Amino acid sequence: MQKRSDLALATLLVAGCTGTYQRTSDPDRIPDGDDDQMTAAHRAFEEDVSPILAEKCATCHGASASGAQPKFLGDGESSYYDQILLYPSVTGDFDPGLAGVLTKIASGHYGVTYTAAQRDAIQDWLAAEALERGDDDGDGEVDQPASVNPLAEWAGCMTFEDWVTAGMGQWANKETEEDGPCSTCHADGLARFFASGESSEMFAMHRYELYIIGFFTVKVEADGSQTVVPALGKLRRMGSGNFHPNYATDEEADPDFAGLVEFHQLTMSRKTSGQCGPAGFPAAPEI
Amino acid sequence: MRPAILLSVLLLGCSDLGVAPTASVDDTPDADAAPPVDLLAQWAGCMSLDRWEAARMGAWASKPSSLGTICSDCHGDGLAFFNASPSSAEMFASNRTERFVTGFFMLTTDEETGEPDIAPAWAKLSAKGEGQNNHPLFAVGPGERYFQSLEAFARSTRDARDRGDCDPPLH
Repeated sequence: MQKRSDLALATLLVAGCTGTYQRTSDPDRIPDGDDDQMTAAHRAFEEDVSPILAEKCATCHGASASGAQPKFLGDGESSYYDQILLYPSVTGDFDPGLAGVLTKIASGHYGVTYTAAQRDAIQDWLAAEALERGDDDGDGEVDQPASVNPLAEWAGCMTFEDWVTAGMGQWANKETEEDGPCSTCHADGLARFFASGESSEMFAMHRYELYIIGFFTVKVEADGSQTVVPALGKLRRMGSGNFHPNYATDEEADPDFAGLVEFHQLTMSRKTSGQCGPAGFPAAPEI
Repeated sequence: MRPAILLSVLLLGCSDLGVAPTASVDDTPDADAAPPVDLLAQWAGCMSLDRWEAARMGAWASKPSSLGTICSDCHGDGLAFFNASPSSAEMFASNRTERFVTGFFMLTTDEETGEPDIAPAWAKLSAKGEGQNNHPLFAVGPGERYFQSLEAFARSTRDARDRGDCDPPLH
């Protein structure tokens, strides 16, 4: 009887503690050929985080689980990475303080807990993602995480060459019905719209976080991805009264609106073809 | 060894490792356990377009900022995961989704019961209106009419939740 009890105890201890985390990678988990294309953050996820999620979360948050809870792990370990990136509430946009994958567990979630090593692994992965999506200036700090702010990424794609090609500098000379061209009031950035008579200065200023919203905003797509779009609605509204002098707002006939659409297209082409500079707004000049 | 003692030893061993014991030997969740309630999903299920319109929540799209712009100028398509579409119905539909429900609401703790609850995201909205992260300024505070709209909408949604007048949890 005593032997049977000892055996049961040993069995239960082994079975009950299967949550023990071993920081080992499974080379078979990643399909051959993909490894070289992975970012360091992605690799950290596959090697260190995916096993944790498989053990702790997949039963309830995999695609085949029943219930209304978010299925942020998709169908099988090979899909974990792509799927979890679609859930900002789980990754917290790579801020550990906002990442549900950490905060949910910390506040009590079905009795699931992480070891310190597991927490560290997840935090390391989030930090790696934030860094890779950040300003890429190599200083180890994330000044402008593009994951949080796609406009920062956009700023890295804007070039003066495209700006000139699209005639964007002409916005400074765009006439209003009552008060002269835009530069009359906005030459120094009134109301965060910078319309200097010097095109290169205007371009430089529009890459800053303060002014980039002058011409652009972000559309959140149904899948959670974010796309920078021209702020045509705002520019049309501002030119149609609303306590602002009127100006031409036909985005097809008006050369300034057409120029903005062209500049957006040129910049988007750079983005999609991978010809952008590092994501991030320019550093503010020292005064 | 008695089962209770055995279980205690088992739990102690696991807590030393910082690892939760698995729910059962076959590693499936306990079928009898109540599922965790996603309060935000439940709240979204209680949000209704009628109550949204009654509280004039769609007006937030036209809330003016210090730049002469209105919320929808930048957030009409969801910039920074805050949706202020010029279409009130579209804004409502977006703000019920998991991605946008935290634009106006947040998880909080009931001060009396200590239980988790939902509340308007006053602190965030006020911080934005006061210029956090270079956000354009806008009027904030208890007397502000857009804030009052949000308060009215939150109140009517809470009432609906309390009397069970809700759709199933979303998300």
